[in-house]
Amino acid sequence: MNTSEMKRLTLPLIGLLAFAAQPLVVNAAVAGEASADEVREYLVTMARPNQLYVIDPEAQEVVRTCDVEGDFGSGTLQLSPDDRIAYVLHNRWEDVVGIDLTSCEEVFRASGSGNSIRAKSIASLAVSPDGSRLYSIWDRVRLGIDHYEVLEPQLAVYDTTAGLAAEPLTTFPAPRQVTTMGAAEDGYLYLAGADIYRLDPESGETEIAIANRNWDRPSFSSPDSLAVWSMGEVTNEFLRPYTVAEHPGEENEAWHWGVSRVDLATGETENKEIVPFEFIIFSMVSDPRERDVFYGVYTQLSKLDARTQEIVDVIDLDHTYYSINTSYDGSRIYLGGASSDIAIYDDDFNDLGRIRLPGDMSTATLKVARF
Amino acid sequence: MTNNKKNLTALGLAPLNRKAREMERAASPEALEEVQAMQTIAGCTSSFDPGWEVDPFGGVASLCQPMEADLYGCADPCWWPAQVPDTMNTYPQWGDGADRAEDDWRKFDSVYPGDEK
Repeated sequence: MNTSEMKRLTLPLIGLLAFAAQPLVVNAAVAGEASADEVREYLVTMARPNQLYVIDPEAQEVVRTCDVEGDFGSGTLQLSPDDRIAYVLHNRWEDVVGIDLTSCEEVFRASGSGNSIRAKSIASLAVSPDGSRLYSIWDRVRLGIDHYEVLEPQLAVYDTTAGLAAEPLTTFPAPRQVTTMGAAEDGYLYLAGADIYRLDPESGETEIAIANRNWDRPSFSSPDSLAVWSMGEVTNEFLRPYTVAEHPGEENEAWHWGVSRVDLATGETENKEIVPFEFIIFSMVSDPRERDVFYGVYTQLSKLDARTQEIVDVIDLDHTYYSINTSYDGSRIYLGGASSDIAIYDDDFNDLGRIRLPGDMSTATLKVARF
Repeated sequence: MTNNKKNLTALGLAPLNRKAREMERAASPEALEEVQAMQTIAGCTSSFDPGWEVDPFGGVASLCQPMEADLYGCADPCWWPAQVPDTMNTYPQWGDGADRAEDDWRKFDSVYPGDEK
């Protein structure tokens, strides 16, 4: 890679400051915080070596730095329903740690490993809508003296009040190759694996909610997808983008970006192609004001309109970002993960500024919290 | 589309060392079906990434840029098992003191069997 080929964005400082001055205070009633006059919007993410950051995107500064015992990785984050506790996949993908964002107090910790079993979770973390349960899928290996034994992946259900040495309330066999998870208000868990699965955490019963590998679409190839980043809290949806070829190998072959999506409020599912596949996207979120408008990020920031099947806008970024999110009012776009700076843009892709962190965010999620 | 039924030579892959040659001789296409991938797309022992990359368009322009921005994102989940140490399990301290790869990349060193883990 040649860094000199990178297109660097230059923006007038005056414009940057003007946008930075816009308030991000949202109405308390919207957030359901009747006792407070207002709630503020924060960004929450993890960075190396082991810090959880709470960031004010308006002031563009870190407001709280929480040391989380253990090594970084993966930094996958999910929030409690009141947004005050962040659950982070930590310690080289082996522990889940709950941190109170208002005090940095550690309120929950569980490990999938122990008793000669090494367990890693590949970004599989979800919190029930009432906040009482934490779900993770552990990919487990029994470590023998002279061999390793690959075990069945396991869904672990935790009581979020179980403290700092939490053991699962129950476990169930889980499908292989699952990464991100979402918990819906209908009580089901949705898992991003070879297909999008629907899992009942009361019984462990699993079915295909959205067929991907097993879809019956003769004129389409199998889809290819990457699901590592667990956003969707702003729109209350579980979203996985994919690429696919229509009429593969034929003269009229056409490549598309598509989305598999679960509305976590209703359990409604959809799967559809949205725009032509012209560049890579690592993560995608929908616009909270119009759910068929999507923002994607990688080395480009893009705006995609599924209604017209058009790429509305795309700009080159100064480096690759992995994780994208938006403000609750949809007016701002936040980019994080990969390197050590968080970028903020408005919805016309004007650059509003950067927040530098002391360490790289790597695979960490960039979440938006309000409290 | 799956290539599971094809042998490696038919896929244009040529074995370069003894282990690879033995694998080519031993594994019939049918036997490949018996090899079950581990459940993760990452994790060193379960990664099928060969250690080099091209982008989906056959070039390198769409790879992450610059490499330093992507280094931990690929090292942490063992996405690059050939280029960087296995920090997930075997050499977890490889990145200690180099928290920001963009600035600290000179601090990364090679590791060798028997190194302090």
